[in-house]
Amino acid sequence: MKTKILVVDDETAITHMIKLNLERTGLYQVQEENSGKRALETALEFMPDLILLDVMMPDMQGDEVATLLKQNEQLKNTKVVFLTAIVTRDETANGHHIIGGNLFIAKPVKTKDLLCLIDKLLNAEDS
Amino acid sequence: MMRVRMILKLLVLVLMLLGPRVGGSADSGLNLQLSDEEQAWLVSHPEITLVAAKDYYPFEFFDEKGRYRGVAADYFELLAQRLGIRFNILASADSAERLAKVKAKHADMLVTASEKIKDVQDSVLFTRPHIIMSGVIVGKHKYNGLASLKGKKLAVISGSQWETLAASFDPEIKLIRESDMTSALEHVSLETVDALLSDIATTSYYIHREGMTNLNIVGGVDESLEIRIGIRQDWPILISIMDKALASISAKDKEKIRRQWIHIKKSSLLHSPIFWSAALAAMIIIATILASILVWNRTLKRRVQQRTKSLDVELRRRHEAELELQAANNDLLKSHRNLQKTQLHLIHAAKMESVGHLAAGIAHEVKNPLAIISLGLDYITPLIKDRTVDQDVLQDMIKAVSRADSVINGLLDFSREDTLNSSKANINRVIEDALQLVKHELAQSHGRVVKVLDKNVPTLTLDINKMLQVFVNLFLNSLQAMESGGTITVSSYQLKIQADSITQKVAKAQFEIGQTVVVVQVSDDGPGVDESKLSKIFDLFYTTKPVGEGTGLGLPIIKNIVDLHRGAIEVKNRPEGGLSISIILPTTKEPPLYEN
Repeated sequence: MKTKILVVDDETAITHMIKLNLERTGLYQVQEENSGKRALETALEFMPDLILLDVMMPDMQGDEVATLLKQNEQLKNTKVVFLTAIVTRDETANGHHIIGGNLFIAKPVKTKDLLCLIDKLLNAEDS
Repeated sequence: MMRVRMILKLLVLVLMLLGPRVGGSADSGLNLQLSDEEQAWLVSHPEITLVAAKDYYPFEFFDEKGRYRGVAADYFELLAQRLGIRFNILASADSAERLAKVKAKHADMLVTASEKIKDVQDSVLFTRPHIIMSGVIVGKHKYNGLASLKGKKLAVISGSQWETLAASFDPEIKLIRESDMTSALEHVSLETVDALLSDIATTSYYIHREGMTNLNIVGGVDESLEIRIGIRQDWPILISIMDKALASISAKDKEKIRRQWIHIKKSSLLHSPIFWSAALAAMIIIATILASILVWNRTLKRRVQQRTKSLDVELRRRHEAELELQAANNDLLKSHRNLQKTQLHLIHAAKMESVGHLAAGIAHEVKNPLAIISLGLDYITPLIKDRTVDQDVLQDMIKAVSRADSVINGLLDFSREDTLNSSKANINRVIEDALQLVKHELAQSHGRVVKVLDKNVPTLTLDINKMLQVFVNLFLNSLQAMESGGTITVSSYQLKIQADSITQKVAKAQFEIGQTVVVVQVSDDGPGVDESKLSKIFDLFYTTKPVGEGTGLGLPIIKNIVDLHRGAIEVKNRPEGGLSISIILPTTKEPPLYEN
């Protein structure tokens, strides 16, 4: 069974590109969501293994969405990785970084880095 | 001195030669006892006319108001009272004329007559002498009796008793006849004659009047001047009347008259206790005056000293006040400068804030498209990996995305540098760490590093990570500026800001004179920067590097970090070539700006 990944970003092109790049590996099933407000609903429907969440979205900010997810019994243990434009490369050395207990990955994200991070996170859970 | 001696001599002579003989017998009775015949005669002759000499000083003369004055005048005033008669006074300058008047009975009496003058002897009757004056020699030199005048010129007043007397002297004494006393004394004074023979009263009067201080009475002669009243020959009875009347004048009155007209004191000063007590008194007075002058002088001196002292105190006080004022002014200037600095920092902070907003906005708006391109490239790259040319195109695109990304990141870095996370640190340690971080780049460009680090630099309060970024940026800049194999020289040292320091111009503007700072200088041997562009190198996005190699953010970030540390940066081209950048950091305990 494929790993389910939910990508939340107001940029449809970004969610689409990520979906294309991840699904091509054959390992992941990716669901796109372009509204922060609808993210929780979609997540509950889709029940992903990991959520890639954009921080800056017009209708609801990524951190608010993350808070709602954490408050939800069914989703509180779901891994969340923030996607952000306002984190510099230095702060996300090695492609990702932890700020305030959350994982971040800086835009423009490289597929290679993203796959590496997802693999690391999910394997850590398994072991 | 001369005058004092002369007066003393004169006084001694007067005492010796005249003594109490002035005015005749001193012990004559005061009561006037006239016979009946005499009294009857006086009743029938209530007015008697006198003829007086106009200028026979000091015996008789007429003053400027025409009043009859002199020794004889005073006598006749008294005589008029005693006798109860009136004297009419005729004046005549000429002795012959006077005599003629008596002869012709136009006048009854000649006031001053001398028995020793021949014409007079024959023409009048004489009373006893009422004025007797010793004969004296007046001169300028020592006189030892008449013998010493042999071969010398002796002046006499012609027609006087003295002329008659001198005629009887040794013929070797040359007689010079003078018409009046003034000219006679002048000749003695000018030494055209050697001496003058006259009476004491006349000579002393004239010497006194003419102020001839160089003349002395040098000696006396045996003969005296005897002045009598000459009475017309047909009035013999008047002789006894006048003699009795003259005798009735008291010694006291005579003395009074004498004192008034003859300026000689009766007693010798040297022998008078009055003189000595007067002298003592004078000395005491002089001593007192001297003492008071001395005391006054001292007081004055003390006052001057006190005043000087108080002026000194005042001066010192003012000086202190001035120093205080100066200190206050310095404080004011300092706080003014601090305020200016703070203001600049605030402006800078505000600028940084807007840059931050802008950077965040740009980052969001640009990074999303970049992410799309990047992910798109990731997607299509495997699809065309068998076609070489397309691979190059894809790689160029990937690099372009990376470049755009790094510009945005630099901007974000730059806008983020607004707070410090400070701790105590040794600047040399930070430099060493920075060198470690650029080790790879150094090796790649075969660069060499010369370290001249002062082991004794004081510990600074720094944000170590940010300072690390500063030095890494500086080293990388230097490496990029130099050809392969260049040398970076990094030195650290302590510096006291000097007033006359020209090289530390930047530091002078930023720091106080005398403040200690730590300087880290990073120099390279690259081409340096064109002087006209030196001032621009801290401008945002300004770069001298080829397109794609510099973002123009490195130096602005460095400047921002140094500013936050209240430091200064000085950039200059080295005379031997290459660029030298000095980071000047304060050692004060003053906390850096915007510290966390």
